[in-house]
Amino acid sequence: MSDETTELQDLVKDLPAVDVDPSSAARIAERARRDVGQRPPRARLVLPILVGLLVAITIVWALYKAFEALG
Amino acid sequence: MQVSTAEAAWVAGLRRGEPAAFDAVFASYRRRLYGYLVRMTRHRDLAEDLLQETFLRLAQSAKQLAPETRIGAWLFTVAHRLVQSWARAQAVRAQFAGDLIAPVDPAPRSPLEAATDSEGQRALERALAALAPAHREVVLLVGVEGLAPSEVAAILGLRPEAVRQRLARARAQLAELLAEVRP
Repeated sequence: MSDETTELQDLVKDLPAVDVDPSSAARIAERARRDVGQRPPRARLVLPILVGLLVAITIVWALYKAFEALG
Repeated sequence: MQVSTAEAAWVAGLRRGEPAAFDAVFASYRRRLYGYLVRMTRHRDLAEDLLQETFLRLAQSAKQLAPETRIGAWLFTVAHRLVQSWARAQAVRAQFAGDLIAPVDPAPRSPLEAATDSEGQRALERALAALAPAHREVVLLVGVEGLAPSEVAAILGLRPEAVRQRLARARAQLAELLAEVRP
């Protein structure tokens, strides 16, 4: 461990530990535990796919117009 | 860096979709991640939301984890990205709201300060809060969490040398601030 790291750890050694309150911790654990091994909801993928499509269509349209203008 | 036996067992359990492995990771990292999140955002409710999102992402990524995943570094990487997204959104909101946002007390007494026992600890919380977020982050990850600078570099997406420089500046600034605020 470098001197810099040791000095820093010494500076902050009195920092008190903070914790999420037990009822919130239980709620968070319960909520996340249900998703263990599950894939993210499909709805989360819809927006990126729509945006991707929109960007692709815009690029194709812009290229088409550019070629059209160049004759 | 070597993956500990316990960590390897947790990752194997997560890859099999075992809730018990998730519970063990949650019990080991909940406090550490919450401490990091609450000190980065200075807001308990927001820190709870980001903590939940971090563990939800772990749960949903469980089966895709590589066997050699260092679970602590993985969790802090997700938490760091969530904090970054929140900070970006805050900056945009502030930019668009402009003068509509009422000026706030730059150093209000935070719930963290209220929860601390001694004047020395309160001074430390104040000094930490006064650091620039990028500096506060390395102080928390290296100084409080005890992560190696090389590991922190991977979490933050920086070169190890950049982390070492940031660390040196952050330490010097923190020492200066502590000298000012300590009674």
